[in-house]
Formats: sequence, C-alpha cells, structure tokens
Amino acid sequence: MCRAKSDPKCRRCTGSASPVTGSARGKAYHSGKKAAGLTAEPKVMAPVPPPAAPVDADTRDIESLRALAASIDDAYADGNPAAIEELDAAYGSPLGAVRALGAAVTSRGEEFAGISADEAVESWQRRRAAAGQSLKDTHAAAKVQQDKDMQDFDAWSAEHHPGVKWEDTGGEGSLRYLRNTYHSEELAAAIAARDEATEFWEKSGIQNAADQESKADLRKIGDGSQAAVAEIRPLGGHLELHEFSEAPAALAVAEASSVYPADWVKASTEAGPLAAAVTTGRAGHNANWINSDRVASDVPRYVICPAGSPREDTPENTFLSVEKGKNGDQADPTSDTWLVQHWDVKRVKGKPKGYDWEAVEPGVWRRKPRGTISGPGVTVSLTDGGLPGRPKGFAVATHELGHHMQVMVPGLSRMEDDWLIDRTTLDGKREELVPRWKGANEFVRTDSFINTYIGREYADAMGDKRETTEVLTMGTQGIFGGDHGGLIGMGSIDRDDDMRAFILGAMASAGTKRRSSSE
Amino acid sequence: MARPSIHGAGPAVAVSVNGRGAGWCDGHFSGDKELIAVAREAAENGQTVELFNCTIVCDAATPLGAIGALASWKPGRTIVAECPPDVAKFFEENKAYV
Repeated sequence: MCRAKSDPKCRRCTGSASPVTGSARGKAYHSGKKAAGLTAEPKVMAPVPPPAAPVDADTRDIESLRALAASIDDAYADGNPAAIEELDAAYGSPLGAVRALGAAVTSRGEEFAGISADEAVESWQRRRAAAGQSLKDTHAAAKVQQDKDMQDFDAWSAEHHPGVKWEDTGGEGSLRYLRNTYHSEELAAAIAARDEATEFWEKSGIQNAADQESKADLRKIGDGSQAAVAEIRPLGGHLELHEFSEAPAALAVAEASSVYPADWVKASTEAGPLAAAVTTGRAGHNANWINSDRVASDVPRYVICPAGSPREDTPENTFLSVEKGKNGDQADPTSDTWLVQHWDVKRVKGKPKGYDWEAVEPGVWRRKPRGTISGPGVTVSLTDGGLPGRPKGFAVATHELGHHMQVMVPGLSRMEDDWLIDRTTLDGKREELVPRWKGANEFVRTDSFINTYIGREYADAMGDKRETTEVLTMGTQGIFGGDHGGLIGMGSIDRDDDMRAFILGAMASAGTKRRSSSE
Repeated sequence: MARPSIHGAGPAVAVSVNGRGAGWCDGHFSGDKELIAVAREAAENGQTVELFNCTIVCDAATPLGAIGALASWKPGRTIVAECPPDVAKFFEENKAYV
C-alpha cells in the first residue's frame, strides 16, 4: 500500500498516483535520459557544393558531363594520379566532382520530370493539410448537426408530449429510443461525409505520402532522374538471369536492372547468370549462393534400419531399397541398408504457395526439400504498395541489385566508402558505431542520414570490415523505388539532397571506362 | 546504491532520435518534450509507422507500440537503446532486406 494512504502525515506523495505508476514513470525517465546521451545531435547536413566549372557552365552540355564522368571513373577505378589531381583542382576532391556531377544530373532530372522535388513535397503537404482539415471540418459539422437534431427533437417532444421527460422513458418506441435513433437527412449526410473523410485519412496513405498522387509524383521524379543519367550513359540492357529464377522475382529484378547503367548490367551478364528468388522473409544478396523455392534437392540419404524394424512410408519419408532403387515395399525386407527420401510436408486444406507441391492425401501436401542455386543471387520480398507501373517488389529488387553492382563495378565501393567516411566524420573523428536496437547485430553510424541503415557498417566473422555498404542500395531504392520519401522529403522522412546528388553522380560515372574500352 | 524499488514496473523502452532521448514504461512516456508530444499523439491516433522495415501500429500500452510512437517523429533516425528481448526478436525476424 502507498505510504501516503497509511500515513496521512506523509509528504512523499499526494497518494493520488499508485506506487507502481510512480515506479513506471521513474523507469521511463531514466531510460529516456540514458538514451539521450546515446547519439550526439547530428552535424548539419552537408550542403550540396555549388557545381563548379564545367558543370555550372551549362548542365545541358552533355559532352562536358561525360568527360567529367570519365575523369571520375579514372580517379576511382584506376587511381589515376592525373585524374585525381585534375578533380582536386576543380572540385576539391574526386568526391566533390561526383557530388557536382550528381547535382547537374539532379537538376536535369527535375526538368525531365516536369516537377521539382519542392513542388512534389509541397503538393503532398497541401493534400495532407486539406485531408486533415476535411477530417476536422466533417467531424465538427456532424457534431453540430447532431446537436441541432437533438434540439429539434426536444422541441418536437415538448410540443407533442408536454410534461414527459425523455430521460424517464425506456423501451422500443419510447421517447428515449426515438431520441437516440433520430437522424435527420442532414445528419445522415454529415455522418457519411465524416466517415468518408476518416476513411480517406486512415486508408489512403496521405499521412505518409503513400497516396496515389504522391506515388505518381515520386514515379515522375524517378523517371526524370533515370532519363538524366541516360543522357550521359545508356541504361538497362539484357541482364542474364539464372534459369531457375522464380518468375515474380525475375520480373522485379529485370525491371530494376533498367535503372542501372548498361555497363553495369553488361558486367553482371558477363560474370554469369544472376539468380532471383522470392522470399517471404528477409530479402538479401549473396555473391555465392541463394536458397531457392524452384530448386529441388533430390538427394536420398542412406540409413541403416535393423532387420525387422518398421519401415513404413510416411508423408515425410519414403524408403527406397539400395538394390532396386524402388519403393521399400518391394525391397528385400532382410536388408539393413536403405535409402530414405525426405519430403517437405504441409498440412493445409488448399494447395500451398510455391512450386511442385503434390497431394499425398486430402489436406497433406509434399514436395522434395528445396535446394540452393550456386553463384550470385538475390532474394526479393514481393511487397505491395510500390510506385504505379512498377512490378511488386521493384523497390527491394533495386536495393538488392545494387549490392550485386557493388561487386561487379570497379571503383563503386570505393566511391561509396569515400562519401560515407566524409559524412560520418566530424572534426577529424569518425562517429561511433551504435547498434540499431538493443542486441542488434547491425551497427550503424547515424550522422544525419534519413535512415540510420545508410550508415551501416558490415564486418565479417573476424571483425574485418567488408566492402559492402548500404549507400547505393538505399539511394536507388529511394530515388527509383519511391521508398525513404524518395530522398526528397516526402512523408515523415527528411530530405537529403547531398545523398541524392551523390547517388546520381555515382551512377553517371562509375564504370564508364569499361564502356569506352569495350566499344 | 539506489534503494531497490519494492513496486515492480513492467519492461521499459528507450529511444534516441537525433540525439533526443525518450523512454516509456507501463503507459508512461518521459523524456524530450517534443518527442513525447508527438509520441502521445501517434499512440492516441493509432498511427502506423515503418521502423527498421517493420510496420508498427503505435500505442501506449505495449513496448512495441510505444517504440513505434516514439519513433513516429523521425522513424529513419531512430535508435532503440532499450527494449525487451521479444521486441528485439521481432525486429530481427521482420527485417525486409539487407
């Protein structure tokens, strides 16, 4: 019991709050205080450097942009000292050149899109404000009409049933019942309008810029960026996919390849087929193998069964004789060595999703266990809610294909590392790595990234840093897939012009030398 | 050493968003004023938040819902400094991509 209740003279608390409440408040306070010191206030977002010559001379001078892209590639892919010196002199560093090139591409992209990032965000903000206002107005109007209906009813009641209070009545047909169920046509209309506004507010996605108009604007801006990069170098081309790739994932990955430079796609195809599989869990990229729903692992295993032990087939196991390779029922029952074929089994009414399921008996389905595809591959989760005209899972496929490109394109990872180090270094000191959540094995430097995942640092089992980053992947997923507020500040996500410029600059320049040599 | 509490409180959560900290325990938010004002509103409205590629419905009654509410100000900038193991497991299992 609270001491305040047992001891009226106690001045420790008023006794109005339970001690458990006080304890919870204290715990919340101390937890919050501890968290506040976890990360420092981020440094001010690095502004996009003003494009220096020759970029600022005329962003339509495509030849000079191409020349700049080639110099950047020379500096990053080959470490060419002359190129580095030239870019140092003109842009402060090769990274400055990437940013300047990207700023020019961004500007051209908005021209192609016919809508600027500011206009898209303002348009969404207006729509959201209008929807919010409509929500408030319709709620208020319904309340006013409801009050008016009650007043009208009370006036009618006083005229036709003088001296009877509705509060004193009950049952169907009583004044109380009539009052509670009385709806004028105006009130019915006001309630319908209120419900419509509420449904739009809750379900249209307007709060997070996931409404159709916002998505259409994001698509326009993404397409504009794609067209601007395509002015400098061709995009897309044939991406060789593994024959066992799953159709929906292959569709998403093939579409995603259309936003990446043709040189990158070609490098991937020349390196061998890329496998694409669907996952209902976490999507990912692996340079060596992926598990696939399409590939059956048809490898029976030897088991020793003592003579006389039961060897009855079950949905999960089928016994095969070593000698005949047929069903165990036909084998020599005295043999001790058997093969057993294992099956994946599902007990569901309808046919499960995926390939090769066969019915064993009503409600029992089986197929051979799934196997792996060796070689590079991506797994894609087929998420809904993408941009109009894009297949399901497009944004995630763009992300995962970005990881593949990091491996395929020389100099790209170095470029990303440069940018990441620049953004996460303050006064010559790198930011601390922190786990994204307590106990997480993902460590990030938060900087002022729009999503802390961008600052993820990978390490292998020995703790050595891996080449992969989440810069290009998160960037292309945002710019072309419309996630992360398109990087332009849609939804409750911040805007990052510097990242947008870097991504488009990197796409316009990395691996360009390869094109020249192959042509 | 602080006197141990004789009244048990439930699990607590804490987040850091842009260097601002806030916590929650048993329905109570505490910490940065702006952060918790936004969190309370999000919890009241049952707002949906995308955090770590997981979809969370905000509330003030559960640790996960409270994390969603506290993150609703800037989900992309949220670091969860403290959470119960089952919430960490939820994040681990529901990550959409790597």
